[in-house]
Amino acid sequence: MSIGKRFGALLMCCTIVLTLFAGCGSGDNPQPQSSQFSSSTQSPETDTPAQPLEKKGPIVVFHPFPYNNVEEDWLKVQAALEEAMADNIALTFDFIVVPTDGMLEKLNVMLAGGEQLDLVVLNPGDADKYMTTPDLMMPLNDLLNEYGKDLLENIPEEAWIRCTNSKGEIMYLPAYRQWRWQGCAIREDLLEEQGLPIPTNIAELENVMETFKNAYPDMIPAIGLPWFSDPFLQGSQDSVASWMTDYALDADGNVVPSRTLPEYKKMIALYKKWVENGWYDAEYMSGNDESHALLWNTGRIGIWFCDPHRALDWNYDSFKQNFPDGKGTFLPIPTNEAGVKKFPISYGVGRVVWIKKDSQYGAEIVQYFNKLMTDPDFYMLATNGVEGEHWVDLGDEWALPEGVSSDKRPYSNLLAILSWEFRDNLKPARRTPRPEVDWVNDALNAEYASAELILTGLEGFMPDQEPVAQYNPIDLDTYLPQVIVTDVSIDEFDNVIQQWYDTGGREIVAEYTRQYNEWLEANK
Amino acid sequence: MVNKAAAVHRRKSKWQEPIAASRPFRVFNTLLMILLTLLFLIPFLLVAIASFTPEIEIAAKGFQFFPSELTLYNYKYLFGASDKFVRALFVTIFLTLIGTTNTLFFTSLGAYALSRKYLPYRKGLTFFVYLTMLVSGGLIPSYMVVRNLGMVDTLFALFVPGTIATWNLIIMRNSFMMQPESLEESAKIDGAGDFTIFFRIILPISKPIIATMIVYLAVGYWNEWFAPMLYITRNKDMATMQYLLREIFQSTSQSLSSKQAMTMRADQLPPSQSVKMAAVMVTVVPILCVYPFLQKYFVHGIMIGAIKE
Amino acid sequence: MRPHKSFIQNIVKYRYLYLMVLPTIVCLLIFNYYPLWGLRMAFYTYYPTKGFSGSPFVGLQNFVTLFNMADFGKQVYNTIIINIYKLILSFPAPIIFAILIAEVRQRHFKRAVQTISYLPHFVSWIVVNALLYALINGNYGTINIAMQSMGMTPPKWYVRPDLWRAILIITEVWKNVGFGSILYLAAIANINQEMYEAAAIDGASRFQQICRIMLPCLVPTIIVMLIMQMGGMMRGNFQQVFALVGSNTPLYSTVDVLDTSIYRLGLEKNQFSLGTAMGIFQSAISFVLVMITNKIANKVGEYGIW
Repeated sequence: MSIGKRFGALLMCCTIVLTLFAGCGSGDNPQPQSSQFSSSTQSPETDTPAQPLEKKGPIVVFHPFPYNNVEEDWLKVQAALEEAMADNIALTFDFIVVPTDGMLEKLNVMLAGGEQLDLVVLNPGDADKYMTTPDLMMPLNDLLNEYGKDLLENIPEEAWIRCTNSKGEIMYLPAYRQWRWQGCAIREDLLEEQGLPIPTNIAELENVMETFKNAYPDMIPAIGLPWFSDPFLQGSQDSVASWMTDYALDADGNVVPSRTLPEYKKMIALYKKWVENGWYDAEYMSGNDESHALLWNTGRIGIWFCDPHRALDWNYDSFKQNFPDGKGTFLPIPTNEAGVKKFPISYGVGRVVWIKKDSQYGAEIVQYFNKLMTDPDFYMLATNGVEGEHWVDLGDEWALPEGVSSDKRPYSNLLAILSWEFRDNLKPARRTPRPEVDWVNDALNAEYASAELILTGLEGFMPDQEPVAQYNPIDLDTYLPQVIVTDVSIDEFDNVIQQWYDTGGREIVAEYTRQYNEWLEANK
Repeated sequence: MVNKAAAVHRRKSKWQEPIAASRPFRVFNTLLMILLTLLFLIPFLLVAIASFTPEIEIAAKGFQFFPSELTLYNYKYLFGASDKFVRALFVTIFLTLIGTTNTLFFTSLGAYALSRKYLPYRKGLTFFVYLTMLVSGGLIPSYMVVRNLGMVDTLFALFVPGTIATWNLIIMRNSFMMQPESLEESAKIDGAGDFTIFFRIILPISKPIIATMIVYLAVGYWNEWFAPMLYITRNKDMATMQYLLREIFQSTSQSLSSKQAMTMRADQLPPSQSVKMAAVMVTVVPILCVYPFLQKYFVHGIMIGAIKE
Repeated sequence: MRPHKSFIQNIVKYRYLYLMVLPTIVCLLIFNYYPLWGLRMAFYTYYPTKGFSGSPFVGLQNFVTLFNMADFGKQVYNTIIINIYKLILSFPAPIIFAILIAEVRQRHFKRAVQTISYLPHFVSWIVVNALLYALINGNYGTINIAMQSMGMTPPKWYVRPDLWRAILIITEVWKNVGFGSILYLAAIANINQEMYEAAAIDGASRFQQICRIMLPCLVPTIIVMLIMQMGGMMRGNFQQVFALVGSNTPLYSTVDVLDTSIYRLGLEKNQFSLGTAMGIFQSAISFVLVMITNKIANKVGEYGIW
């Protein structure tokens, strides 16, 4: 056989092998075409004598918050949910679960490629970036009025405001939690060792940081990410500006990004002072929750700006393993000079979902969330998983199965997507008490409820970004941290802001202010 | 005189200089070479040691050369905790084999055809190939093409777009062009067809350049991470090792989450730093083991390519 | 001598050769030329949800926006300046390394050094990022800990933009010096040994031999490689910057290059039209540069591509 023929045969073999491989590789994917016909594999058992509905979907859900959920477990829960819905909503799912890092890129690639997507789960800040893309999101007002009455009634007004654009269209469905997620955790045991009380204002906090720095040279006194630390600290500076506040009104009544306000300079100066004194880790921006958690659990930091639940609840076991005598607690909101605690208004909306405009299953999706809201068993299934496997029913309470601790749950919350903590119609969903971590939630709520609200004056107004899409001023996320961590003087802040205005910011401000004034007129 | 003869004899071997540089310089040079060798190796050594270090020690004292304790836990975690890593390893091996063969086959065919000086429209075709090196459509248009062909989330997307490696094609074309024409002529006289000439005559002679190409391509496919990042969204089974490595560096717990991982975490501290290093070692060690043996080929191949007769 | 036959006759006569080159043509058409048609995105304000028919045509508006973009000037500057630094530092490194290697007389030692020097070339930039992480990470990095134990305060590497151009260049040298030297070693080995002997007889020292014989013989190779390098002035090393810097924004002011910016515009910020416009800008300038430098290369050496 000539070499040519041999090569040809080899090529054919490769092609065959390849096809098989690729075939089984892609075989897991359900057909991404909308199907109105029942899938033959499902045989729904229902209590009602009614005919099981035809299965709808699958709807494609983009979910970038996997935490530690394990695929085989969520598929089980998904199957159970679909079965439970079979007689009234009959929705089937196809979850695309991606890691949180790099989620926007994945989403953008899917959108650009025209992939079918029905439901997208995002943080509200990220969702806002897509709000202005024309024909992307489905306005939900009509659907909510028809299928989502319970959602409208039960979710507080402030959450809906966050989800509504300036034209009055509700664009997102919100999660809503009473607890605030921006705070600060501290090593209480180290405080006691140094004989210091829990700091209640900035001066005391700085004193603690200095003490930590001297007493514990192997430790970084404080670390954190700006979306945790800014809201926590801004009250102490009487500042309406923070990383988490997009827009505010300046002294002349213009709508500007809050971080361009002169008062944000105070915040920057504060951080800068901390970095210069060696109290705050200069490389804070290159870490993430996971790397900071490792530092906390191994005693490398004393003060951690984060979601206090993360330090005090979710990482409790890991921390205790290394420091059996260690103790953590959360800091109270630092008071301003007048001794008043202030915290920015937090709608408690930590997550939203939006429905893609060309989805055919908008009604079913809203029904799904409405059912989550109204049906306690259904919600329990979606939040905690399959009874017997993921949790154990103890009558009045429920608990995790033997040997599973709270940070090692193979399934939690993934398919519930939105959670609402204020609900009181749930079966007592209290797990076996763990006093060492159970106190955190209520204590945090009480603390934050006691603070005065910081309002921007723009509540209810969402600027429309499309008219100014052509303007690309410098990225504040890039330049402002540089003022903090590099050697430049604090007055560099003014240069940065000036640059922002010069490179397109001025036009943006003018447009937004115009929109705001229009909105004021319309809503008199 | 005798010395001179001996000197001439030594000079005949290719790698020896007729007159050596001064002794101090040679000593300095040797020391310098040793220093450079250390510079090349030390980072790998550090990572290797770190991969055997327990997480708690790295967290406390950082990456060090002499940890107080060594452990295999990280590797056990990597392979036992989640089948993701093992699957990525197989995907990468498979991709390297298939991709290299695929690209080599079609590229060398095209290179041969374009090396025949008598082929009409040859200049035009060569320019057609060359132009693609200068202009490209960019990210999104390429993605749309791959998607319209239905290759998204399959292994095809990782190697089919790269079937023709233009730079390699040009080099191979030049190399084929340098073969004496007499070979082809005499084969034609014997009645051989173009395919036969290519496979039976030109290819065997061109072993060095083919071997070089294999090395280039194999390394490229082994290290591929951008294509999976772009094209693989849903089907995690198609992730390559480098891509998984990147994900592990961003978030270890999310990348390697699985039931076994949860049961394995005996010491409660989710391993991240040490596992990252272990993952790096797994991607590097195969290359480490293989490339010294291929050295002969790619060195020779580059030399052939460099020397223009 | 070109046969003056008709198109069909040519195809038929050389049908096997055309068959060989057919996959090349098809593949390049699909994956390289067809996406070029997608470049027209730069002249629209492209909305993926609406496709081309629904997106407004805006002509050169995107390019105007591009040039007015605040960071654009910075990115162009970074791309060029980093390439210039690389030209000055990273380009001579393989040459010097080759010359030094050639002077080593112990064969096995030389072989070992060479083999080890190729290793960095074969690992990906992601691995290099991992190695760098092990060395300079703020909490666990070995270099930092070593500096601390010697009493010095280590810099916070990941927030020092002023250090990162140097880091990029050093890592690139580290990665490429070994492999890049092969080419020059080939050229060195190709030099007629007789010339050294003649010079030695005339009393030239080794150093003089290198300067006056070896280097001039290397010049053609060097010039050709130099010219090819200059053709790539507008292109940054995407793999390197993306793997090492990633989304570490404080570093963007010194190391953000056009390539990574295009990636971000397209994939992170959804501004496809703008990203495509930037890509066209980069491709156009690269095209011109490569054309010019290739013409020069043709005149100087025989390395012209066609």
